[in-house]
Amino acid sequence: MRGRCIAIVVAALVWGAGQAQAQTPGAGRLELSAGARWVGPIAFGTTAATETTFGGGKRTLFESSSQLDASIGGSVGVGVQLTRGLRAEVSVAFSPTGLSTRISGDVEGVADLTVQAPVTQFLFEGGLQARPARWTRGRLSPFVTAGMGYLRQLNDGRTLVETGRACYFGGGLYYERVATHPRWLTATGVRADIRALVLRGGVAADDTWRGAPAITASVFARF
Amino acid sequence: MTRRPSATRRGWSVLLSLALVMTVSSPAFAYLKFGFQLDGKEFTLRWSRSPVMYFVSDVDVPGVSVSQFQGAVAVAFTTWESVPSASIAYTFGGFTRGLPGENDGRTTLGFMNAPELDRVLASTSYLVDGDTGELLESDIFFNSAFAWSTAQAGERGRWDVESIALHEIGHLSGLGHSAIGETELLSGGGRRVQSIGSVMFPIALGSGDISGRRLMPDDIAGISDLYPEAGFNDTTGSVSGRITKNGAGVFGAHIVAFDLRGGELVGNFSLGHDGQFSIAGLRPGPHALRIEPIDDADTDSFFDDTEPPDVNFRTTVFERLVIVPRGGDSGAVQIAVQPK
Repeated sequence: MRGRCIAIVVAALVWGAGQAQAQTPGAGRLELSAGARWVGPIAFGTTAATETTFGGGKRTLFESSSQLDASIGGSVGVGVQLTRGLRAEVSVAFSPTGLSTRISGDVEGVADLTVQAPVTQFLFEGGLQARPARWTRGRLSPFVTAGMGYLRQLNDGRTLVETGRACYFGGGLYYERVATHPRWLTATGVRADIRALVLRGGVAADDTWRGAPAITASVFARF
Repeated sequence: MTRRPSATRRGWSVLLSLALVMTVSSPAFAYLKFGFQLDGKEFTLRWSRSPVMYFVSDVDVPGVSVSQFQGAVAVAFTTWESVPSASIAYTFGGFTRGLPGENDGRTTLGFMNAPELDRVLASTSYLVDGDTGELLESDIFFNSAFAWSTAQAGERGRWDVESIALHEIGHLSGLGHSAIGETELLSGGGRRVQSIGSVMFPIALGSGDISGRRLMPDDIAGISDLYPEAGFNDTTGSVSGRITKNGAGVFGAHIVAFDLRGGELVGNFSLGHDGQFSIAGLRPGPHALRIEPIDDADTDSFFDDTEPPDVNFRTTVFERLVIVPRGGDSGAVQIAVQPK
């Protein structure tokens, strides 16, 4: 999977370079952004509590089905222009979320219920963004992006820190206004990202890669 | 609790005994470390030296030669010894004419005929130094009043030596019974085992069954907690807390920690009247806690008559997931249960 992540990033880089056109209006060397990010739920599947029966069979005491809940948090990022139409970006996203587990089918008749634990999640990401000038229509400027990340999750009491890996790909749209004043500011506006996040590790996960959608809305300024 | 301090006292030694009981009755304990008191001092029953040398009585029984018996118990010893997170080791010292229960300083396993113990397949006894609390000897007797087998695939109508030995060697090593298992009442009285979640469950699944040859997570947590390999305590964690009913502590509640990642079950009891409990040797990560009363028909098998456990509450799943930290404790978890 890591290989796949790298392949996506490299593809984006090559593609972005090939598409590079004249400098996008409002382009600046440095971009700062800050906004809110929604991350969709991540399902971890079902685990059964079982005991051994005569002959080696299994008897299920109850089943559990877990997910990392959808979350809304903050995100800040920095982008640096590499070439015309290609930008390197790093960002950190923070979100308070929760691990939820549905316990069902208890053999002793315990009513089905959902139990939870709060989790704080940090996602450090780095990647590339391609934004060919010819895609720009007025103040709207689409882009595609891909990259990799480092996941850090803490439980509520901060007694357990689990780490993991991430990769992402997606696209988005800038709505930007060319700035004329002050001189060092080249553009401001808003930016929307839609990403497919693929995560591995963390508080609840095993070593399986699991996906979740992520939507970020932010304001930005280019210098 | 099935641990019974014996009236026997020989010099400065003290004999303790445990028993694995057949399909009726059901003493149970989570993977407890046995503790005992001598002259007001608390001791944990464990070997201070390793490897533990054991001997095998030179006694055949129908269907099992002494060499077959020795081979089967050697495999069982190896199973415990192979737990990577535990440091205990055992070594075979040879055959002996001595019998289990003879306080000769030799840890001895072997057959003895005890037809009067019609519910006891095997039993483990201990000889402890009365001054230091050091475990000097632990013997296991297998009741030859029952039919036994060492057949690789088990043998219908015969009890599997390796499975029963695995349970008893857990006792020999200092582990108590586990309550992770389910029984059902029989119409004619007594109980039948439906399933087990620990080799240390006190009732065997049945004659001919060999599924008790493999250790389960509860057993592994127990032996590792008792004889931790270097780093074990740093890489695992514990859950502790208090079980209450109507604001008061619950004594004898059975708490099982369920690991969401792998489905492992590890249990223990609230052992004080304040309802305090602790479960150690858990893999770090999220766990669900399930609290249940022990089978009310068997409470006197677990606890002294003078201190009956509280069984008048509903099986409960704690409303929060508990995150077990690496190398630490979850912090005090307060769990309220409701009366039946």
